[in-house]
Amino acid sequence: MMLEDPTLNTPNPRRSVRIQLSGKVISSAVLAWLIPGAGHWYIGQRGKAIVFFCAISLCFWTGAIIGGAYSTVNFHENTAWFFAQIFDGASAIFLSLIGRLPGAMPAYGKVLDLATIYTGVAGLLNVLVILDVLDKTALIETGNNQAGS
Amino acid sequence: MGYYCFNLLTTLAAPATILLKPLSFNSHRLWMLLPIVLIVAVVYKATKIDHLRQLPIASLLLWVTILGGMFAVCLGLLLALLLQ
Repeated sequence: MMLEDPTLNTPNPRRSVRIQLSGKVISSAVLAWLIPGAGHWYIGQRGKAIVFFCAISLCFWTGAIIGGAYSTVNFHENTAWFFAQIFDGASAIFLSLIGRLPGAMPAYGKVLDLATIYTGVAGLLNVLVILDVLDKTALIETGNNQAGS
Repeated sequence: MGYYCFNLLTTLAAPATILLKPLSFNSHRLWMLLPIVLIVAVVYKATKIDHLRQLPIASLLLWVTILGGMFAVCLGLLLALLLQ
């Protein structure tokens, strides 16, 4: 499957790339979704991977601790935000499972707002990281293909 | 053996209990804006820069810019409300 870059005719050589969805591109995107920064780690950008992991995990788990597991990531009570939070991958799935444990208490009002914003922003930041790793992996793949031909 | 396994499991599961009960967080909520804006600035700038040593200054500048912009919008809205 080929995705045509809309800015293909621009003079910037960095943007003049066709994103070819190869196995490595898909693997890096899936890893980045599961664990923030794992995609960058996979393509060898270890420093950035650590920055992304620390920043996004700190944001997500701060929200989780503030609001508790029951209400913060809850598809039925918080549907719109759930679609932002789910981009945090494994953390969001783990938190929603903890929320089903007996003894989990719901959060209300501004505490829930704060928790939802923190976890939702963490998920949306991970979307940015996934797009970045897609772009960088495609560039690496294009470079490898050109070097090979 | 079973007793030790139970102890080990409860010790490992203890940190998860912090997630079962929400915090009571009724004052100074506005200060929570500062860390989240810093995290947004760090992640955004980390996707843009080529070398990590540029990250602290670049993200700090973006953090100040975002906060300054939000403060200006807030001030503008407040003035508009007062002059109404």
